[in-house]
Parts: sequence; C-alpha cells; structure tokens
Amino acid sequence: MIDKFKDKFVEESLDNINDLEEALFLLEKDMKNSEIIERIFRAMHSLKGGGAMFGFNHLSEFTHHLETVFDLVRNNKLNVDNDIISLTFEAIDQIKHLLQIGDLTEAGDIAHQQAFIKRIEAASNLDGTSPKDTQDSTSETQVTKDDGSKNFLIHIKPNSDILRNGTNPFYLLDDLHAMGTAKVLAFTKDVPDLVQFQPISNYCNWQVILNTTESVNEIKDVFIFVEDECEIDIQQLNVGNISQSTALDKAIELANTEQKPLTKEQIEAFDGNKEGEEKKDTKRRVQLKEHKISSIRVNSNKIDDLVNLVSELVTIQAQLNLYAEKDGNNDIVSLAENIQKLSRQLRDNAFEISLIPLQSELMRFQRLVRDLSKELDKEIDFVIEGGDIELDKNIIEHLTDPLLHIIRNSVDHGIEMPDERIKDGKSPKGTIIFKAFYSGASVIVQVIDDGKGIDPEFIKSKAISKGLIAENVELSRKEIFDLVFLSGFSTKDQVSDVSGRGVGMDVVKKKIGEIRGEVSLDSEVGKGTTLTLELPLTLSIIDGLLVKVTNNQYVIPIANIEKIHAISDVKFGSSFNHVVTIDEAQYPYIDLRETFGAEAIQKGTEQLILVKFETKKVGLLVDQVIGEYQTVVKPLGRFLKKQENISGASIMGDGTISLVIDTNRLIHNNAMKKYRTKK
Amino acid sequence: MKDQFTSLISFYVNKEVFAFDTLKVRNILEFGKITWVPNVKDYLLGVINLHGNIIPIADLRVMMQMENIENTNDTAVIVVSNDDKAGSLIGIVVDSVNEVFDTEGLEVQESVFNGNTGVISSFLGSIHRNEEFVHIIDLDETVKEIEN
Repeated sequence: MIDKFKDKFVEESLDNINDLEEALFLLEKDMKNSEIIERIFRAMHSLKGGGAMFGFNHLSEFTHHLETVFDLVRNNKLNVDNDIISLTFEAIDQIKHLLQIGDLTEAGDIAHQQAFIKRIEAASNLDGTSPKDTQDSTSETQVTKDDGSKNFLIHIKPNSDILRNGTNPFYLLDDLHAMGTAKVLAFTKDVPDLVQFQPISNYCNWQVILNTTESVNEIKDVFIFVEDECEIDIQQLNVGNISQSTALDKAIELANTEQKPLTKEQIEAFDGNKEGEEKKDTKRRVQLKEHKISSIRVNSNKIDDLVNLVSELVTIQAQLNLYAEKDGNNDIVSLAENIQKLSRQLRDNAFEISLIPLQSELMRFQRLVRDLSKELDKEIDFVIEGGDIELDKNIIEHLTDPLLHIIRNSVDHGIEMPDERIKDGKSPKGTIIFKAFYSGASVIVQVIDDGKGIDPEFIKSKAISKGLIAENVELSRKEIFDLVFLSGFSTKDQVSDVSGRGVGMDVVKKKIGEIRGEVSLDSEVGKGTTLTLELPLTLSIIDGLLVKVTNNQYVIPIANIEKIHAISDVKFGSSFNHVVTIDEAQYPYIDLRETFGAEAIQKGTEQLILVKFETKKVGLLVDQVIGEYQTVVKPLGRFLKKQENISGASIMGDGTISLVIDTNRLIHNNAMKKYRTKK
Repeated sequence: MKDQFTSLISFYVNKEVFAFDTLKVRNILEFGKITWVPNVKDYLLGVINLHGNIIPIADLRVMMQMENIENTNDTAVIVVSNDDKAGSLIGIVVDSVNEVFDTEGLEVQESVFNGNTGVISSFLGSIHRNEEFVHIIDLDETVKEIEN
C-alpha cells in the first residue's frame, strides 16, 4: 500500500522537478522576479515535505538546505547569480538521483551528498549575509519539520444546498478526526423552526480544532470534493499541542452554548507562544479557493488500452454498417448510423486524450543545450517556438532520443566557438531554434542552428568514397543531403573534422521512420543547418485511399497523395526508365504490380496516383482506385518486420485485410536500388 | 529435454505425423482466404484477420520443402504462440490436424531424420504411437527461423 503511494510521490515529484527546472530557466533570464522565486521555493517545499513523509529522508534533508538558500533569496537577503543557478541545476540532478534510489546507503554517496550540502550552505552564506541569519532560518524550519504535530483552526461553512449533492458533512468531520485529535464545535443557531425547516437544506456550520502531523495540503484534500459547496477556512495556529488543554475545552463549551465561533487569537491565547503571520494565512485561504481539479493522472497503459479498444470499435462499427446496408432494415440502418456517429466522437476523444504537449520534453533539451554549451565553452541561445503543439504520446516517446541526438549535434558540431564566430562576422552567441508547427495532417519539428553548416560537395565526395553512390550519378542538392542518413555514411571522427554531422544520422532516420515520420536536412556553408522532422499527428488512424493491385487491396495515406490520373491522361515514356508524361511534365513512376512481385500482371484498367516524395512527385501505377477510407493501422508484427514497403495492415469493414503502403519508404527503396545498379 | 509437455496436438504434413505442444496452440482454423503480402519469404503466405488481430501465416509444407502442395478441405491453420506477448501469434498451415493426446507414460525417443525437413531442423523428440512415429517440432526454433 505504502509502495503505491511512494510511486505516486515519485511521479509527482518528477513533475515538481520539471516545474522547478522550468522556473529556474526563467529565473536565469530574470533574476529578480519574485514570482519565479516563489514558484521555485514552493516546488522545493513540496519536495521536502513529501520526501519526509514517504521515507526519502536524504532527499528531504538535501532539499531542505536548498530551500534555505531560496528562502534567503525570497526575503531579499541573498541575490540570485549564475553560481546559485548552476548550483541549483546540479542539485536538481542530485534530487532526481535520490528520487530514483531512495535513501543513500553507500558511504561514498553520503559523503558526496554531505559535501554538496556544504557547498549549498556556503552559497547561502555568501553575499554579505551573516551566518547567524542562515542558522536562524535553518533552525526555524527544522522545528516545524521535526515537531510533526501542528494545530489548525478549520471553519467549515457549507452552503445551504450542500445536501442536495448527497454530501454528508459529517463524513468530512470523520475524515478530520482520522487525521489526529480533533475538537468540533457545531453552530446550529441558524436552524429554523420546524415549520420553516427544509429537510434538504443545511443550516449548520462547524469549527474544528485539529492537532495533526499531516500537512495543510492533506487537510485541504479532505475538502477537495466539496470546495465549491463549502466555504473552508484553514488557519494554522502558532501554538504547541493544545488538544489536552482543559482551558480550551472550557472555551469550546462556552462557544458552543453562545454559538459564537472561536477566533485564532482566542485559541492562541491559551499558549503563550505567538508569532503568527496573518498574511501567510490569508494567502493560503486564497489558494484553497482557487484550487480546482482540472486534470487527473491516469496510467498511460490505460490510455493505450482505451485507444486500442476504440480502434476495435471503429472496425466493428464499419462491419455493422456494411451489414445494415445489406440487410436494408431501416431500424438497423438508423441504429448503425447513430453508433457510427458516437464511435466517431469517441474515437476523436480517445485520440485527443492520448495527445500531450511537446513542452513536457523540452526541458530536457533546454538542459542539454545549457550543460553542453557550458562544458564546451560556447555561448548558445536556445529558442523554443511552438512548445504547446500536441502530439500522440507514443510519438513523443519515440521522438525524444532522436531529438536529443540532433540537438547535441547542433551544439557540439554546428555552433562554432565564440572567437571563430566573431572572425566570421557573426555574433559570438550562437542560436539554436527549436520550432514546432502544424502543417496539414502532420507536425513539423525543426532544429535550426546558425552554425558553420555543411558543404554538399563534401558529402557527395564522401558518399562516393564510401561506395554508397556511383561517381557519375547526378544528384540534386536535396538528394545529396539525404545521403547523410544512409547507414554507413559516416563515422564520427572523420566527419566532425570538417562538417560535424552524420553521426548516427541513419539511426535518427530509422527511429523517426518507425513512427512514420520523415527527416530531412538542409544547410548552407557559413549560415547554419536546419533539420526538419515531419511527423504524423497520430500513429493508429489514417485517412487513406484504397486501391487494388492484382488480387490485393492496399491503402495509400491520403496525406501523401497529390493527384489521381486515369490512364488515358497519361502518356508513358519509354518503359525502360519508368518515366511518365502528365500535363507536359515528366514524372518517374513505380509499377506497384512489378514492385510487389505479383505473379500474373494483367494489363487492363490502370490508374496512376501521383504522390509527394520530398520535393518531387512520383507516380504509383495501380489497377484500380476503390475509394477513400479512414482506417485503423495495425502493425504487421515481428514476423513480417523485414517488409519495408508496407507500414501496417488495416482490417476493412467486411473483415478482409488491406495493406498500408509506406510511400516514402517505397520510393526511397526504389531510388536507392537505381543508384546502386547504376554503379 | 528442453520443454516439458504433457499433451500434444498431432497433424500431418506430407503423410508424416508431427506434433506441437498443446499449451502453445491458441486456435485451429480452416484454411481460408489469406491476404498475400509482397516481398517476404516464400513460405510466408500472408496475413489473416483473427478477431481483429493481424496474424501472419507460414506454410509448414513449404518450409519442409514438400512438393505438389494441394489445399483440401482438411488443410488447417494451427495458430501458435511461443510466448504470451502480443504479436507473437503465428498461423502454421498443415495438411490436416490429427488428434490431441496425453504424453504421460509414453516414451520420447530421439528424432531420427535424414535432413529432408527443409528449414525445420530442430525436434524435441519422437513418440511411437499407433504404429506411427510422431515427431515433436521445436516451436521456439521454428519461430526463430521465421523471424530471421
């Protein structure tokens, strides 16, 4: 049970850390911003509190020291500088580490952590702050942490219609009782005479004095479902444990008979120690009222299941439609139509749920650029545009590694050293722009640097020397840059001397290809390099054109299709070099019957589908175009994974299977075959 | 002995009796329409739709280099899975399915072959039963062969 909570804590803490890193980046740009500092402090505070609660003691202790630094910053006793920010970044890594392994056990690790804490303490002592100050604030926080029990005065004022929602206010009181020692005052003076009494209205309010070890957030959680129907006022009392105090009992009795609520000051009077910060408390109250449940946390497997089930439903529904049409019974037809409408909505909904903003991954990239550029003594601005673009979670998962690789390349090899840049007449500070935007049914992600760029001629001569292309092949600029993605194109040491690209780019291409994405590269010597990823919005559903090739049905993704031509429009050139003339332009074409090695090729009706391939258009020759279909793409599975031209299979309404053609891969494979045979 | 099996499902390929471990068999289907997939190994006939899942079909008769393959009413597809992961289902075409029997008390001998079984080269042993030898095919090896 506790493990379950622990997992949840780790998960939530990772969110907190993410938030912390994000805020830290902002702070780096605006070191005086008190809102950001407050945000950082809050994130640290929740880490500390949660850590202690779930047995991450080292984490809690460590974060505590860090928090101390920011407490000083918050109170204007310490100014933020680059050192503090760098130190905090390092500390965040340590926190991540602690989250993963829990409490440290190795002596070396503990010593390392202690040394780190020393450094943090040193940071808080810098800048003219007297050590005494730090000590004070340390011990102050220590006290509240160690002395777990706290007192709260909670005033619950439910609205009169709270009972209508089936809420029983007594359960709230029970929950509070369960958290510690609670004393309850009930105010019933508003209860009317029996004549006017409405059984479904609430006339009471309660005050609770709670002595508990839980945090104020835990108390707030009790009211999480009723916060709209209740006015909740939680004040922390600056007193010791007063639950045993007889004076308090008397005061409660008196308040009960007088029906007059107790105030914070009244209770605090029972304990001499008074240093309340009224301001803080009002702030807490405001926060509580603003708090709304706008999102819930769901295991991602459940979402995968949901999407799978919905995909199944879409398939079955298509079968139902087919049956209804055949049957002709009007009742069934209209039922099928309704189900179609619903399942379509459900499908859209389910896919929307599985979308997450790119933002979630950007922090890692930002961090990478920052750390790497510091390490290499380069100055780099990392600019993000379109971080709110949403993509299928499975796509984002596949995207992170290739993108890290691409960005690392840009920092490492793209951007020059500051002095080199000045020599070339550029600003010493390099820029890497991370840009994401929608383009039709796809999302384009670009990584643009203003570094030294790559010379196409170099790539070409290199590809020739590696035997990847024949010497006499004429390649367009685009085709030359594509060579970078060929496996076996480059090894790190050789290329990075001159251009610095091509390190494992074939792997990037492969990874992106797995999610039906495309990678391309463009560069200008001295100006910089742009890497472009074109990604599908979702993996599992595509709009496709159903075509027939010999005895099989195939689906061609509509996003790739430019135009469909009947065979009469088309004049075939010489069939040797597979070129076709349409509207006075020539296009290469691929005869699918030939490529797929169909046994009996019968010449009959033929149609040519022009598909986009990078900047060109290529024709695909098929027997017949059947129509447009929205289909659920299923993987062919591991036994057929060698099949490159087919990206998946799709079950049609009548239960038959159509194969989904990966046109980019198909054309690419065909082109590569050509280059190789020319050699 | 690599595998512990307690019951076997036997079938005919080219008039010889072979068997799979029953626990690895998920389904037995009639030989029906198969959607052909281009550019794959010759014994992979294509894919079928089994309850909304795409399942590849391998022809054991082609794998064993049998000649004059004929599909009859008895031709069957045995759907097997060597582990329980999704995507590990594969249909195997055989001439006809024979029977399911318990192996308890039966002696498993070493299989003797003169190398005419094509790409199927690993067997878990043979059992003499009803005056015939039942050769137990090593599914793990077979699946590996198909996958590579």
